Formats: sequence, structure tokens, C-alpha cells
Amino acid sequence: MCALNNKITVESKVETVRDRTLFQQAWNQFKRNRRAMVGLWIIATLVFILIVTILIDFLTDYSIYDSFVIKQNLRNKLAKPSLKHFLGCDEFGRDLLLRILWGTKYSLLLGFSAVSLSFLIGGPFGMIAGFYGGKIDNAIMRVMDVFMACPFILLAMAIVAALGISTTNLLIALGVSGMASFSRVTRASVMAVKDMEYVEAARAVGASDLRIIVQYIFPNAMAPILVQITLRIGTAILLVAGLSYIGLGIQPPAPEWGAILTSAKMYMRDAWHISAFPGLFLVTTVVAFNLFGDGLRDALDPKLKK
Amino acid sequence: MEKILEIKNLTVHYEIEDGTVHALNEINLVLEEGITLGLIGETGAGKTTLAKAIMRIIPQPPGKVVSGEVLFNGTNLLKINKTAMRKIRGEQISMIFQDPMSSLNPVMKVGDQIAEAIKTHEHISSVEANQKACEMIELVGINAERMEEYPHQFSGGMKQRVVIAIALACSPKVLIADEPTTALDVTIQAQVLEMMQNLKKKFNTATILITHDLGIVAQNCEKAAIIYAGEIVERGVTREIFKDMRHPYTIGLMNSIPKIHSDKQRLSPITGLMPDPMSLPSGCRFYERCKFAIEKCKHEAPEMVHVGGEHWARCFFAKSISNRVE
Amino acid sequence: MTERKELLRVEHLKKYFETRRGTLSAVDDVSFSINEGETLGVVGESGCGKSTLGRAILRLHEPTSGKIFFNGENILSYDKIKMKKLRSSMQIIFQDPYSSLNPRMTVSQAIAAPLIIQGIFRPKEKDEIQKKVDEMMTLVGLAKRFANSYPHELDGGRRQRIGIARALSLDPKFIVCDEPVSALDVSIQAQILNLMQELQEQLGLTYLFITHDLSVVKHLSDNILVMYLGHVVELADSKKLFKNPLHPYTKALLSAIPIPDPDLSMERILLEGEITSPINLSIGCRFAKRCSLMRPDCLTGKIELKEIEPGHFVACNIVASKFNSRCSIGKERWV
Repeated sequence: MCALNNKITVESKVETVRDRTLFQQAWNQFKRNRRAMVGLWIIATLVFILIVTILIDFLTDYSIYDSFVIKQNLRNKLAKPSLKHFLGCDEFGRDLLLRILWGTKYSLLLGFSAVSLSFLIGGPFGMIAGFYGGKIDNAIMRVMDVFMACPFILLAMAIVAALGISTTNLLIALGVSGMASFSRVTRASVMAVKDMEYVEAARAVGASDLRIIVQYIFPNAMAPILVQITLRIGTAILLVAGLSYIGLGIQPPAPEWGAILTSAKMYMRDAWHISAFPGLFLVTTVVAFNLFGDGLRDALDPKLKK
Repeated sequence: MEKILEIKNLTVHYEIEDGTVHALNEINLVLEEGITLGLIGETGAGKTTLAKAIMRIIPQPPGKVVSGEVLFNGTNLLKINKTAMRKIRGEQISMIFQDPMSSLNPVMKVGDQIAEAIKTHEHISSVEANQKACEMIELVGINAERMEEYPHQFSGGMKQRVVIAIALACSPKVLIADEPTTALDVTIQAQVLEMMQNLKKKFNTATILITHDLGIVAQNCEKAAIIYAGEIVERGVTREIFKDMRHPYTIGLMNSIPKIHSDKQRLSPITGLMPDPMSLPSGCRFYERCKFAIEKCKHEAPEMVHVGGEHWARCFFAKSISNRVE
Repeated sequence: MTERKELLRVEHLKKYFETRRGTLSAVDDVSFSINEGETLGVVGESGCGKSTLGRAILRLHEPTSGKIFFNGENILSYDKIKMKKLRSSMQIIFQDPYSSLNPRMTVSQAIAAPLIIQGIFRPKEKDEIQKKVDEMMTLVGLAKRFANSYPHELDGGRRQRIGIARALSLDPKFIVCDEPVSALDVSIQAQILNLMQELQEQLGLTYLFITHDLSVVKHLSDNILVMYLGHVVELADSKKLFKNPLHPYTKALLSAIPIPDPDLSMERILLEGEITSPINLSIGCRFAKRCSLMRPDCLTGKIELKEIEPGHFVACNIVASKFNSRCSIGKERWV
């Protein structure tokens, strides 16, 4: 044993072993990306608004919601932006800014839930297809192809028509229509990882398929999937707004941004502010998620960067 | 013999977020016409950086040529304008890279790639260029019929031959070959090196052959230089160096490779690792791993010492140590 | 010298892959045996099937046919449970120190993983696990401060040491080393080769050492197997092989190695052409088309390994006919 100890490699004094977890390393990389940080800040602000509005509703038992967001005040009908109403009022005299703020929760929560649902359904399918390959892969992917072939709006309309207009059904429609692309991304990710030598090494030690998928493949395949999730939230938010716009999603008087836009379209000539501001919020939110997603992808990119 | 390429005091840094990478430090090298110079070094020593510096293809941020000259036929390549440099690349100085898989354009026929190289530099018609490409491909040992094929239809060794054909198509004066056979099987390596030797005789091209393999240098290069942590630590005529190594790193390298002709039971590896190029020691860069080191080596960086003839070594003990077999 | 026990015996092992273009005979009728504590070097260039051979022996690729005897038992008849248990005796070290380690596991986790998977320790027994990990790290020369580092933070040499520690953590008897130093720098190669030799002496390990580098294999091996396109072309004691290579391919391989001495050069035997496709191979010698000695019957006749001198087997009819060939492998124990 002594002979071996002498052969221990020289510990170079110039080395610094940075003992940070992978999360910390990714976070450091992310922090350096200014655009990504802007995206993160915007999302953080939106989440803050979300929490505050929900809290207020809870604490005041919806009284503020009712009196400011829902209650009509026709004296202020179509009022232009002023000091009293920063973004003006809508066609029912309701303060637009407050309506937009209260609408944040629909976009964020629905967007996030829809994407999560897509991932929870599509992900496992993709993982199984990617890991086992062959006939199983074929079968699963062909089913997914059918879903991908359907234009989203038609699919959503079909589901809502079958199940009725409600928030839950909206969620189902969004979740189901997004699962196909998640299954593809997951499958591709899993296929890239499953032939890596460290997976073979795990097999050589006697690891079961389940252990390999959970401990070896999943953590390493997650990076592209995480990026997909954040990028898709932007799309989902737009879809929620889009469905509400055509009347299949959130119904007025709920202040969902798409719903606001529907009623605003009639007044575009006289009251541009009712279309412009919700639209602006939508765009900013989606861009924020895109910037965040890009930053996330760069930060999680394996350390081959060096 | 005429000096065709002369590198004087070349220093190159990379400025990255975490600090400055001191890639090359005061490199001095001379290449004469028709000579093959073997540049020996391990990963991170700076050999690829040197090759790219000569070709001026180091991305300027983050790379920075801090000082020095690269004289090609007397002209400093680092000072000429971009158009002039582009004219020199491929026509006067060519480079081939290690990985033949990624050196060739996968969507272009092999013959077209060689012809393109010719047309870029010589004002001749397409027909003539194709003719010349045919000749080149036969010269590297590939049947001219294969000109119409795509890179993926060739094996690794064949691809590398195509790469060499492209590099030599315009009869450059200097060829820089960055580990041209590392990715190839040993029997294919032998074929390719043999072919390169024949071409060298035909075109009289001066070559810098970058490799980590001492055997390749011993068998193919008239002159040699050993690079470690961004510095040349030993250089001279190959035979002189191999028979009489004067730098501890070179000696260590020689002792650590298993040899067919020796019956030694244990290898004598060099302990430790190459220093981090972002925080290099102030004294000798090999100090941490050197068997002969003394206190002085830790604080003072040695200069090149003239050992005899063209043989130089960067070590305080260059005149006294040697690998000559006891 | 004490009589060494036979640990591994491979008989007529075949591994074929069915591809769209036809049958790829990666390993075609390979037989050999290795004694405890010895090293068999398997040499060949790309496409010869050496990596597939190593993996087939561990049943990471299921062999198409043949027998593999480990400690006297045919492991191809083992069921899943028995096979899992066997895995703690047979391990593998990979070539690429970058892709053979899970990027999301620290050094400790990587070395501990086999212990947990085999049920030697439970995840809760953190102290015992840490003790074993420390022991392994010391054994392979990895400083303890790297225990919580991730692979990408370390250099190739250290990563390979992790791979070795991981392979050793189950106290195996037999290790397949698949080009363990090919991806490392020259000065690090020597460190790792020495380490592997010391470990073999200390722990009584048996190695199947796969490499394309003949100089490395001479250094480490007791016996050498030379492969070409799935076939064994020569099999001999290390010293005999280098002193007297018999098969034309072996000779070409040896002569191709550049010697680090400007005054010495091997008589170059340059091979014509390139390695042929391993798909849908016909009978006959697979090396014939590139061989300077080729005769018409090389392409049609059956080529078998014949013992030319004691312990030295060659698969070449021309070479065999020059000597008085003795009985073929399978009946006699060699070495």
C-alpha cells in the first residue's frame, strides 16, 4: 500500500477546486447573461403581481375585485389614460390597469399548468419511446404524429365543443395539444443520452432499467426539456389569449388579456388604449419567457463551452 | 538553406471572463526550405495556438497577439492587411487539421473541394482546375474516379489524403500539419506519413508537423522543437536531440513512453500535470514536475541555453543533464 | 512459478449484428483463455471487433453463439439474477474518460454507485459508504479533496482514475480494459499504466487489455491476441509475438509503429488499401486482399488457428504450411 501512496499525483498549488453544485454553476453562468436576467426580472415581477392579486382577493373576499375590476362605471366609459386611471378605462368604465393586473394570474397560471400537463403526459411517452426503441418507439410516435397533424385551434375547439367551455377543459385542450412535441423533445433527449458510456457502465454494474432511466438518463436529458418548458410557456400564454379571444377560453367579465382584447376590437378606432395595453403586456410576457428560456439553455449547456 | 518562416518572440494571450490565458510565451522558431520541423507537445501546451497564430486564424477577441513577429520570406504576416493574408493562406502557407471527419464539407464532392482550392488562388478555368484536381488526387494515392464522390463515402485515412491534396493543390511553400494522423489507425498512419514524405520530396514543401508522438518525429522530421506550457523548451536537429536530450521534460517524455525495443518493466512517468495557463508560476514552468529542480528554479525562469550546434534547451542544467544511456 | 488457475475461457464466441445492409460479423469464432492474475492484450485496428469482444464477454452485448466460462461455469446460461451477482466479479474500464462518467454525479457518488446498486451498502449507511469511497480514492491516487467535484472540473487523467476506482469498488477479479489510456496525454498515460500494473500485482487482478497500441500492450501483457475484422489472426505469449511475429498482418502492424529513435527504422511493410467492410463477409481469409502473400486458396479455404510453435497460434495457411502445423485450438490448453 505504501508504494501506491507515493504515486499520488502532485497536488498543484495553483489549482482551485470549486466545490459548487451543478445548480450554482448554472446560476453563475445564467447571471452573466444580461438579456436573460431582464427576462427573469420581468417574470419575477409578473409572479409578484400574481401573488399580490390572489392575496388581495383572498383577504378581501373578492370585494376589491368586484368593485374595481368587475363593477361597471359607465361615467368613465372609454376614458383615455389620465392621472386617475393610468391606462384609461374600458368600455364599461373599469380601470384598465387594474383589469390587466388582475388578468395576470390567468395567463401565468394557465400557461404554466398547460405546459406542465403537456410534459406530464408527453414526457413519459417520449422517454419510453426513446429508451426502448423499435416497435414501441414506432407505435408511440405514430400516435403522437396524429396529434401533431391536427391544427391546434381545431383540436382545442373540438375538445371544448365536446366537453364544454370551462377553465378545466381549456387546460385539457392545451395540455393534450402540446404533448406531442414534448414527447418528441424528450425522446430525442433520451436517445442522445442512452448510448453514452456512463449508461453502459451502470449496466455493467447490474443497474436495472428503471434505475438507469431515473438516475442516469433523466437528469442528463433534462436540460433541453427544461428549456422547452420555459419557451413553451410563452406560446401557451399566447394560446390561452387566443382561445379566449375567439370566445372558447376564459369568458368575460374575467379580465383575462385575450378576453379584454376581444371586446376591445370594436372600439379600436376611438379607444386604442384598450387594445394596445393588454397587447403590450402579452408581448412583454412572452418575450420575457423567451429570453429566460434562451438564457437557461446557454447556462445549462454542458461545460464543453470552455 | 534559406529561411522561409521565422517566428520571433511571439506571445499570444486569450482574454476570457475568468482571467487571461497565457497561451504562448516568446516563441522563437525557424523553418528552412524543404525541412520538416516536428513540434512536440501535449494537450494544452500551445501547439495548435502556434499553428493558428502563424495562419492568423486566432479569433481576435478573445485571442490577442501581445508581441512578436511571424516572418514569411521576410514579411511580417501579423502586420499585413487581411486581403494580403488571405492570398497567402492556401497558396503560400497551408494548414491541415487533426480531424478528417470535420475538415471536409459534407455536401460538396471531393473533387470540387480540391478544385475550389485551386480556383481561389489561381486564375485558371474550371476545366483546368478540375484537371489539376485530378492530378492532385492521384498524387495522394486515390483513384481519380473517386473525384465525384462525397466525403462520407471515404474512410478516415482517405479523407485525410483528400485534405492533404487540398492543402498541397497550390504548391505552398509551407505546410502546417496539426496532428494529421492522430485520429488514424497505425497502419493507415504509416501509409499517410509515407505519402507525405514522397510529396515533400516532390514539392520541396517546408513542413511543421505538430504531434505528441515522439516516434513520428524521430522517423519523419529533420528538426524538432518541444513545447511545454506555451514555451519552447528544447529545439534543434532531431538526431542531436534524441541522442542527447537536455531538458528534463523531454527526458521525462522519452522515459514515459512504452517502447517496442525495450524490456523495461516499469515506465517512469512524469508526475503531476501541466500548470494552469491562467496562473503560471513565476519561475520555471516545469518546476513542479521536475526531478532535477532546485530552489532557484522555483523563482527564476530559465532562458534558452545553447548546448551545441543548433541545439538549445531552456534549463539551468542544460549543459549538464542528458538522457544519454548509462 | 506457481501453476496459475484458469479464470476465463472463451470458446468459439460469435457476435453478429443484423443491419439493413446485411450481417455484420463483429466477432467471429474467437477462442482463448486467461489465467488468474494475468493480462491478455487484445490488439487490432478500428473495426477488428476488439471492443465488441470485451463487451460480449461481459454480456453487455449478448453473444450470438459460443461459450464463456468464468471460474469453470458457462455464464451464458445464467439468468438475470445470477448475472447481476456475477457482475461484481467482472468489471470494465472505458476508453473515454469524458463520456464514461455521469456528468451529474460527483466523484464520490460515481464510485459509490456500484456498491449501492449491488446492495453491498444501503443509501442510508453514509459513513460506511464514505469509508469505502475514501479507500478507493486512495488506492487509485485521487486526492480526497476531489470527493465532491464533478467530472467536468477534472482533467482526463483524474477522470480515468475515477473510472478505475469505480471498476474496483466491487472487488472484481476480472476487468475488461477498453483502451483505457488511448484518450490520455502521453505523460498521463504512463501514470495510469503504472497504476494499473501496481493494482494488478497488489490485488491479483486479471485483465483483458484492449488497445490498438502495440507498444502499450507489450509492456503490460503476458499474452497477446491480434484481431482483424472479427477473426483472431495470431495468438501468442507476448515475448514470442514481438520476437517472431508470424502473421503478415501482425508483421505489418509492428512495422508501422514509429520508433522514437532516428537511427532505428523498422523494415516498413506497407499495406495496400484499406480495411474492407465487415458486412456480409465471405469465407476465407479476411486479410487476403491486402496481403502480399495472397494465394487463390486464401479466399476460398477455411482458415483456422494453428499452433506453429508451443503457445504460438497463427491463422494463416501459408505460414502454417511452412511449418509442421500441429493440432488446432480447442483441445489443448495453451501457455
